[in-house]
Order: sequence, then structure tokens, then C-alpha cells
Amino acid sequence: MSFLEILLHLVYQWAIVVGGASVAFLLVGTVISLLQNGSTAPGVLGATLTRGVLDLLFMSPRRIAAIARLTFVESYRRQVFAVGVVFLAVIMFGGWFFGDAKSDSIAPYVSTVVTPMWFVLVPMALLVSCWGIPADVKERSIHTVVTKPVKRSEIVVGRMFGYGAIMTVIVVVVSVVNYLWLIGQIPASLKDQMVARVPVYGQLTFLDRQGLESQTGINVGDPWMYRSYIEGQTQSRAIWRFHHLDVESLKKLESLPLEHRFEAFRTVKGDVELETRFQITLENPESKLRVTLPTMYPVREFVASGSERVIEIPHEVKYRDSYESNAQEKTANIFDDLIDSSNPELGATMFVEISCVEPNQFIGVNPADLFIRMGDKSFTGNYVKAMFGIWLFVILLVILGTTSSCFVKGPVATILCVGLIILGYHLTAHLESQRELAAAQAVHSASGPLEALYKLLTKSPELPNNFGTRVMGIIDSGAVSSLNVAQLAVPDLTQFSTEATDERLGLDISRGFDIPATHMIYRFIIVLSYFIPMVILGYFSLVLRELEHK
Amino acid sequence: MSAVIEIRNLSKIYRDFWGRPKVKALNSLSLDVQEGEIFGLLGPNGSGKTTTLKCLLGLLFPTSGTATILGKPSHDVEKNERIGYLPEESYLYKFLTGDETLDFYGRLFKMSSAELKKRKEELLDLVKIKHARHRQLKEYSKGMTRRIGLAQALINDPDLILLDEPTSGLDPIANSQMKDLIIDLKKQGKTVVMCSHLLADVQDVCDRIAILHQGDLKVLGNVQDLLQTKGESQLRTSELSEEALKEVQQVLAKHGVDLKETSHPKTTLEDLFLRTVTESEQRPGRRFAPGELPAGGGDGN
Amino acid sequence: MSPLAILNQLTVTQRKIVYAVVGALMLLPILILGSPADKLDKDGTPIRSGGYLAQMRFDDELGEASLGNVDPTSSAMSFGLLGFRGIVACMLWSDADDLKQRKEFAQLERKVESIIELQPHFRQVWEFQGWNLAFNVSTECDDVRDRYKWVKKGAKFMMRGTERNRRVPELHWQTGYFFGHKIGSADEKDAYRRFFIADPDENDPDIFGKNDPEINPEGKGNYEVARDWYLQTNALVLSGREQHQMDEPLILAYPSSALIEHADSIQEDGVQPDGMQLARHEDILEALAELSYDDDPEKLKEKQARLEAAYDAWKERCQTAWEKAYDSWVTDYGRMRLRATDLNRTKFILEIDEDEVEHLAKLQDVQPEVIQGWRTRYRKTTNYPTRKQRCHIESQPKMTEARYKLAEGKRLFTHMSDFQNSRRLLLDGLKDIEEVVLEYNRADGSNGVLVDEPDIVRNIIKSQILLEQAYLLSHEKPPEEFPLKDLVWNSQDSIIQDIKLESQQAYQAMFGYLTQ
Repeated sequence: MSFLEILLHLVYQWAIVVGGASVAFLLVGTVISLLQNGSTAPGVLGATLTRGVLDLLFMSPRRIAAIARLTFVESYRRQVFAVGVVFLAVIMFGGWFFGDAKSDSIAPYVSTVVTPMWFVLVPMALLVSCWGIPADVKERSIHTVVTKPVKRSEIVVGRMFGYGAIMTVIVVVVSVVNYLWLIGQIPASLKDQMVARVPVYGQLTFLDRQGLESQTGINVGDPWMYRSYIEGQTQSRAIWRFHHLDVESLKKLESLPLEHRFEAFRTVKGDVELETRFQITLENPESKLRVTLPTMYPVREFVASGSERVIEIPHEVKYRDSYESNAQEKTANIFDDLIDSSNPELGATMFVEISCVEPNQFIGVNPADLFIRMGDKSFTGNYVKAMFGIWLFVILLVILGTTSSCFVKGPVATILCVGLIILGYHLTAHLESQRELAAAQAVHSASGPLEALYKLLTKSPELPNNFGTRVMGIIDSGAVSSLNVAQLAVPDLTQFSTEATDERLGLDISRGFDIPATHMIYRFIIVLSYFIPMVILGYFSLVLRELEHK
Repeated sequence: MSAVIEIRNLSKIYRDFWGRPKVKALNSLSLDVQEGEIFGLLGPNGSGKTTTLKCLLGLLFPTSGTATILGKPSHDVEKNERIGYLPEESYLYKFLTGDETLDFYGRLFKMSSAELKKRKEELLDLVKIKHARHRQLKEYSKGMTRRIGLAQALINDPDLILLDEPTSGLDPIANSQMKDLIIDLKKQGKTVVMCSHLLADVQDVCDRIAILHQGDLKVLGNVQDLLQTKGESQLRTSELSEEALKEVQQVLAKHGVDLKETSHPKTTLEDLFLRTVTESEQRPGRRFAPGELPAGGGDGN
Repeated sequence: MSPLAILNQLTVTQRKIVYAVVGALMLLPILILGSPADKLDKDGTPIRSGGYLAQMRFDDELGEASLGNVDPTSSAMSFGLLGFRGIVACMLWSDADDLKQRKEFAQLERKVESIIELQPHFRQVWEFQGWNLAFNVSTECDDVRDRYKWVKKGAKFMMRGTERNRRVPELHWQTGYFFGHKIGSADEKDAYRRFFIADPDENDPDIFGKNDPEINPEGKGNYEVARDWYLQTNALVLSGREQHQMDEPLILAYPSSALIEHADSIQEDGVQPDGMQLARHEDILEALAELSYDDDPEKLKEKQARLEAAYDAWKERCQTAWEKAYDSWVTDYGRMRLRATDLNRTKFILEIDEDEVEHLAKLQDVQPEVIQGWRTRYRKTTNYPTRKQRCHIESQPKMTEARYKLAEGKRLFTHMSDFQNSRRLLLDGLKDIEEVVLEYNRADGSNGVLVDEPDIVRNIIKSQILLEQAYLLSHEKPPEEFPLKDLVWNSQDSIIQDIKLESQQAYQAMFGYLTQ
């Protein structure tokens, strides 16, 4: 899917969730209004909605700015910035944790400064945004404000902007200080990990032991299903199909840099002291020209820096296409002979095939385990992107916190937001893994609460085949799909994780992968997509309640 | 003269968790406030004065009835452009300085910055806070807070000013200044509605008053009329000597008039107030039937 | 005037001063009673000193410091988390498990660090995570050097555990077990034992090619280092520390059995020419081959001398090691006053005669049969007599001589194809070994070596096969009579027959055929 298609899909999902929620709120509102106003209810409802639309559409930037400024000054005078001291402490004493301990990765250094950011920024964003409006109501200072020609929507937006500004200042200062610390602390020997690799991934398919095409490789029984395996000295292969290659950029590199991160799975057979190696074959899918590189590469799976696992294939490769000892050495040009550009739909295409050299040993592969490493981008740029991502997250929290504080008191709003954060981290991941599991097992696992309850009570693993079971099934699938809808409404916070399990997601810069700009846009959209409905929700919460502390 | 505030059958009932009426804060109140007058809302604590004001400003939602203010419904924020409100206690932001306070509230109105600046200076002068303009409000005394509160209420040069206990916490001098200021506002053609339980304040400045008790409107009318006791006359003189008093008695006797009492004058509103409240406690209920527009206006009974 | 009235007359500052003075006075008793221990022993552990509370703490062993060294970060973290320490530790533990599954080992290591910061005196944390690193993580690596690195990490982790918990015998024992068992008997033991002396970490020039001073400061063999840890364990156990690893008499055997394993491993390593201590097996064979051949007779002579020296050195090392192991087994362990697991903790000795049993029984006011009963039981569970016999056999010069001859005969056969010399050595060796074997004839007609030492039997049979093949391959008829023919080759014992079959198959697997 192209970026635009994904975007449209997201907008579509957003519209469904926001539309659905609006309808639900409207229904509840109508019922309450009917109970309260009787026959005049439709009129009241209509008037409220009209007023709402007008208040939300026509807001005064000047008033928003005034409230935002007030919010900022409030936090500033209440010494929110004292939090800087905490960071100072981390920076000052962070070095202690390293002492003379040797690390072969920059990850501990990065997490020393990035992890505390979460611990400080998240509670702070919640503390700042969840308690402001309730305190305003409690102290009735909001009375003086709302008796001015201020729309409640302006209060919500102004507050969000104000809190946002505070958090922005903090994020900026902290990230600059942290950056300087990182530059100073990371030892020279690890500087080569301070890069932002730009990977180009391919699609992975397999050949099985007999050389037949297959979607997966061999399962060696690793409970972590991340990798699939190929066996040494068999027909088993892992094939990456690269499409839409940027040949011009590659030509500038004058080589094909392939970076790999396979995993070796050793059986008890063979010499324990020998490393598992693999061999690379490049293939032009159109002309069927196959070039097997003579070198056998060790897997070197646990080398922290990727540079040792980069294979620079020169643009002119020498090869023999026969095992005869007197076979002629031939030369192939990667760009001209091995990349095929005849199919405009797929763009420049090349296949890369991996085979395991050692008999009885296995090599595990995941689609992300082999990629073309285009020219690296700067670590600093990546750091800025990660910090921008953290900032977006904090802003999202501010939005959620401000809105929830419009209808509940500070502590409840905080708990609500913490709950959302936990859900945001786990619900998506959980449901994804559920789906993966269901897909992998190729069975319809519509088990839901009722089925589970039935099995628990009867202690029987089987369901009877009767009408009750079918009803139960319908209710259960309803429960499961409502969970899926809930997932759409809950922010996917794994996107903002700085210790992501997959370097293609999240904001982990310690692995040295460039955070794609499109992902940043996606994160930005997430925040924006919450901003609009949250402002609406906050507005109606303030309009429809009496601003009295009870 | 036209009505700036029109209240019709306004009720506010607080309910308990089960929806049962718990407190009747306001019971079918109807009254009008005319343009250019100073209107006083009187009543003991909990009588519904502040509730009335809050309903007018849209801070509370009435259980039934309507309140129109400057011709607009109470929830309309546009009306606030022309309204100034001084809450019961100055609910201001303690961390702002006096200057910033006025600046902040000023920015909420359609007002150019030059205008705002000018207005700010004027008000700081008026409420005599200039010397403390750069101090945070948390350092202000009660009186100063009150004064800066008044200043913020006037920041937009409002046509209608709602003052909730304007003189509470003020020393006698400030109190008198406040009253002068209120009269001054009237002179500028503005309408003032004030709540108070300090009768002397109300008596001194108000044109008309309403006395509320337990949510019910008990008395409504022109102050002068209300305090006038028919069939009796009152003389106020400088201190009378024994002889002078005797002569006066003789003169009165000549006209067939009894001198019922000689004493120092009393705050008679206090009498009225006490009488009303006592009577209300003995004979609860409304004095003005719903829908029936109480005799309002400046024309007396 | 009452004191309060006086206070009222003071200015604010004066009052504050009075309060401060009163506060300071109230602190005095705390300072006197609670002052911390100020005297340390050579390890930095506080000894009984300081205020009354500190001394009480010392007497009852309640202080952190009495458990092991103190890490300020750890204490601060535990303090800061208040009661949530357990919850946090649980979360970290679950994270660690997840990281292990996802093979994020660097992160796993860091996560484990956080766990032990929180629970530094929780023995199982150290044991579990130490094993995790050394056993589970290490096997995930492809490169044997990487594997060794993780074994080392696990061992170092356990060592830190012992530093933080100086009085927990289990942790000391586990550390010893890592060095002994994990390094000495894993699939990768050849590499590991080599690495233990010459570290393979190229990235660390301080230790590359040398012993890693953190785990092996004196450059000893792995079993010797293990023995040092077992000795520490025993010191703790004998000082009365409880341990739940195993029966006390068993755990006490470890220092001595480590010596047996040490001797065994030297013997198994075989001859190692100078400068090739624990080199790869193939490299050693190549070097030996190089020493056995030269065109120039002068040089050959010199080479042969060096070869001889290497063999002599090996013989010497083996025999010393076995003698030491025998001494330790019989004297250190055999004569140790062990405590049984009964309620009385009956004391008994494994290596003891009747008179002494009587004496010991009298001392403890029990029947001699009780002591005999425990003695018999633990002689069985510890394999005491068998291991004693093993040490005895191996420490005989004749046996060492025989082992040398058989090993060299095998090398000449398999790597030099020098069947003539091979034949000679094998025959001599078998003769020597026959002598030794006959010494262990028992009263019941059985033979101690043949019953208890399948490894020696295997060696004998393999040598016999080589001897036969050496004749056949040089186109001669094998002799009718050869040493141990009746006792071993034609033995009716099914176990021996199985070994024979197995050895013949191994020969076939190696050379592809068995000349008949």
C-alpha cells in the first residue's frame, strides 16, 4: 500500500470511530434531554448543537493565546520547571552506572537518558494537564473567566496549547542536554553505531528442502515465532524480492550494500567450534541470470554494531556459473545485469537468495533480517526525530489529560489517562498477536467471554453443538469485534516506544535505524486525530456541566 | 427605560443522588432590572442571591424558568462583552500580578492593545493598586484583592455590572469609596446589580431592592418607597436641648400631633429587613405569584 | 515564670535558635546509640564496632553489610520504591523473560542488573539469572567464542552474587559448579577449557590470549578454580551456615572430587607439546606429527627428544594430579567428620576402622551400628570406594606408563600409519595395564578394574583392536596370545561385550572398514 492509501485508510477508520462515538453521545444526549426537558427536548438539543458547532468553528486566536499564556505562566510560577533538577541528577550521575563496565552497544547510553525522559515527562504531562481545569473549577477562578466573552471551546484549546507549550519547553531543553551528554559519554569505539541506517526491505519467500516454493521456512521449535529457518546443504532457501529499487542512489554508492542479521540455530551435529555460514545468490527475475558469490559469510549474530554484518557487493561481480574446475570466470554488472526494470509496476527488481552452507545447521530469517543499506543518515537527525516523536506523545497526553479533566476531577482524570496509556501499549499489541496467532493456526478462534465461562464452569474443552452454542458464538464474536473497535479508539502507543521490539516501529535510535519520515507523519496524524474529537468532547463537557465544585 | 435583565419564574432546585429535591435554592423568581438603575438583591446567607446572579451569568443552569440579560439568554457568551462581574470572593489567579491580571482579562474582550493599556492604567488608578501592580495577587491583602477584582470587572467598560458582595472585606474608607464608585457608575449611565447582606451599603446606593429569603422573593420595590412609613412623620434635627424639645412638643400638641418617640435615627432598612425575614419565617411562601410581574420599575407602588 | 512564658517573650529568631538547640540535643542519644560501625575488616565488611544499635545489628547479623558488600544505588532504589519493590521486581522479571525469548541478550543483561539491584539478597535471583546467562543464553550463540563469553558472564554474575551475599553457601557452590561443570563438561568443553586459560576475546587486549583475571587470576585449570570455590563453600557450611543445595556430606565432597575431575581432564587432554597447552586437538596432533618426522636424522633426533619430553611432562602431570586427588579423597574427605541428616546429626567418618567406630560411638553416646549404618550409606551415595580405587589405579606409575604407551601407539597408528612402532607400544602398554588390572582381583573372583572402570576397559579394547589391525595392515598374522585376551577380549561379561562392539563400530566409522 502506498503512503496515500494508508493515509486514506486511517482517515476512514478515524471517521468511523469519531462518527460512531458522536452518534452514541448524541443518543445519550437525546435521552437525557427528553427526560429533563420533555417536549422541548428537540429544540434544546438543536440549539445546543448549533451553538456547539458555532463555538467550535469560530474561535478567537487572541483569547486562546491569552488562556494559553495564563496556563504557561501558572505552571512556570508553580515551579514546574524544577523537574529540570531531576534531569540534571540523571545526567550528573548517569555516568556512574557505566563506570568501567564495558558495553558493546550504545543502547545503554541511549536508554540512560531516554528512559528517564518517560519517567519524568509522562507523569508531568498528566500532572500538569489533568489537574489544571479541576483546580480552576474548585477555586472558582474559572467563574471570572467564563463570565467574560470566552467560549468554552477556547478554554479547552487554550489550556491544551498552554500545557503543550510548557511540555515543549521541557522536551526541548531536556533533549538538548541529553544530546550533549550522549555525544560526550559514548566512547569512541562505539561511535560507528551512532548512525541512522536507511534500510530497503524486500519481501521474503522460501524454498523448502526439496526446492519447492513455500511461504514459511522450517520451524525449529523456537517459541518466538519471529524467524523461520532454512537448513544447510539442502535445497532450502530464503529469497528476498526487492522491488522499486532506487538504482540511481545505488549507482552513487557504486556497490550493493547488504546488511544481514540472521540467526544461527545449531543442532548437536557437526563441529561445535565452527561458525554457521551462508552464501548469497543474486538473481535477475527477468533474464534469470543467477550469480552466486563465492564468499561464505559467517552469521555473526550477536555483534552489536551492524557494520560487521554489512556485505558490500561491488558493482562488478566475478562468478563462475558451473562447479567444473575449469569453468570460465564471468563478470556481471549488478545494475545492468542483475536488476530488472522491465516491469513498470514493480520498478527496479532484484532477488537475493540465501542458503546455509553448514550441513545439519539452520539459519533463521525474518523479512527484516536482510536489507539494502542505502546511504546512512545522521544520528543527530534521527535523535531529533525521536525527540519529536516523544514530544508528540507528550502532546497527545496533554490533549487526553486536558479533555478528561473537563469532565472528571484531577485524580480520576489522571487514572483515566494512565489507563489509556496502558491500554494504548497493550491492547494493540495484544490484539495483533491474537490475530497473528489466529492467522498462523488458520483456524477461526472466535472464543470469547461466554465460551470461556462455559468451559470454565463445565470444565469441558468442547462445546455442545446446539442452539445455545450458536447464540453464545454470536454474542462472543460481538464482544471480540467490539474489542476491535475499541482498539481503533485507543491510541496505538507502541508507535512511540523508544525500546520497540521491532526496529521498523517505534522511536528506538539505539539500534541505528533511521526513523522514516512517513512514520513521523503517521504519528503526527495520530495526535491530530485525537486533538479534534478531544476538543469537541472537552467543549461539550464544559458547556453541559455547571462549573461548581461539588 | 428598558429592562436589562428579565427573570421569569426562575427556579433552581438541587437534587440528591436519587433525583429527589434536596434544596430549593430559588423558587420561581420573577423580576426585571431596568437600564441605568442600581438594583440590590438582599437576603440572609443562603437566600438565593448568588444563585440568581450565577443563573444570570450561565454559571448555573436553572431548573426551570428563563433569565434574559441584555436581551440574550444567559448561556450566550456574546453578552459578556458588555457585562462586568465581581464574584463573591475575588476568584482570581493568585500567581498573576495585578498588572497581568488586568491584562489577561482584558485580552478576553474585543479590545485593541492600546485601548487595553489605557484602560488598565485608568483602572489601576481608580482602584489604587498602581503601587502593587507588579506583585503577585497572593501577596495582596483582602481589600486589595477586592479592588483588583473590581478593576477586572470594569476592564471592558461594561454597561451592566454585577457585583456580588462588593463591600465585603473592605475597611470603612474603602467601603465608602466603593459606594461612591457604584454611584459614579450609575452616573455614567450604567446599570448595576449588587447582592449584599450589608444593609447600609444597599440603602445608601440602591435605587431598588429585592429581598430574598430561602429562595423566595419577599419584597421588591423602590428603596425610598419601601422605607417610607405612611401615617407617621420623622424629624431629624441636630441635638435638641430639653427646652427645645419641650417647645417642639408644645408646637406639635397645638396641631394635635403626638410626639411618639425621640431618639437617634436608626437604619430603617435594617428594620425592614428584619421584619421581612421574621415574617417570612413565621409565614413562609412567596409574596408574588408566579407569572405576575411584581410591581417593579421606578414608579413606586 | 513558666518556660512557655519565657518562650513567648523571645523574638522569632531567638525561638528558632532554642528549637534548633533542643532538636540537636534530642539527636544526641541517636547519634550515640545509632552511630554506624566504623571499623572494617580487610574485605571492607564492618566488624563489631560503632554505637549500641550497630553492635546489636552486628551480633544478630541484621545489617546489610553483614550479608555482603553494599551498593548505595541498590539501597537507594529499594528505599525509593517503598513497598512497591516486589511489584517492580516482578515486572522486571517478566520483561527479562520476554527479552530472553526475543534474544535481546544485551538488554536482558541490563534488565537482570536492575533486578538484582532490587533484590540483592534473594539467592534464587542470582541462581536463576546466572544459570540463564551461562546455560540458556550461551547456547543461543553460534560462535563458540560468543558462547564462552556468556558462560563467563554467568559465572561473573554468580561471583558478584557471592560478594553481595558472603554467607550463602549455595551461591559459592554454584559458582564453583559453573567453573567445574559448565566449563569442564559441556559439549564445548574442549574450547571452553582452552579459553579458560587463553581468553578468545579479541576486543579486549587486556585478556586476549591470557587468563581472564576476574575469574581465573592465577591461570589455573577450570577444576582447580572450581575447587577453590568449593572450599569456600565448605568453610561456610562447616561454620554452621545452612545450605539447601544437597546433603551436607555430599556437598563437602566437592573440593576433593574437583581434584579427581582435574586429573581426569589432564589425562583426557593428552600430550601437549610446549606452548600448546590446550590447543585445538587437531593442531596438537599436527604438531606431534611434525615432531615425529624429519628427513634430517640429526633434527629428527632432536625432535624425538622434545616429543619424549612432552610425554614425560604429561606423565608427570597426570601422576601428580592423580596422587593429589587420591590424597585429598582419602585424607581430606575420607577422614572428615561428617554429619548425618538425622535429628542428632550423628557424626561419622568414611575412612575408619572398627576401633575408631567404637570410639566415635562412645563419644556420641550411640550404638556403633548407627555409625556404621551412616558410613555404609554415604560410602554408597558418594561412590566413595569406587572413586578411591580409581585414584589408586591411576596414580600408579605403571598405569601412567601404560596410558602413555597406549596413547602414543594409537597416535602412531591413526596419524602416522607407523604400524610397527605402534604395535610395539600397544603391546607393551597392554602388558603394563594387565599387571595393574591383576592387582585388583577381588576375593569373590571379580576384578575391580573390570567391574568399576568401563573407561579403562574401553581403552583396553580399543588398544586391542588397534593391535590386531596393526598386524593385519602390515600383512602379518596377529599373535594368538596378547595381554588381557581372556580377561577382556573374550570376556563373557555382557557389558564388556557391548563396549567391544561399540569400539569396533567406532573404528569402522573412523576408517570405513575393519580388516578381518
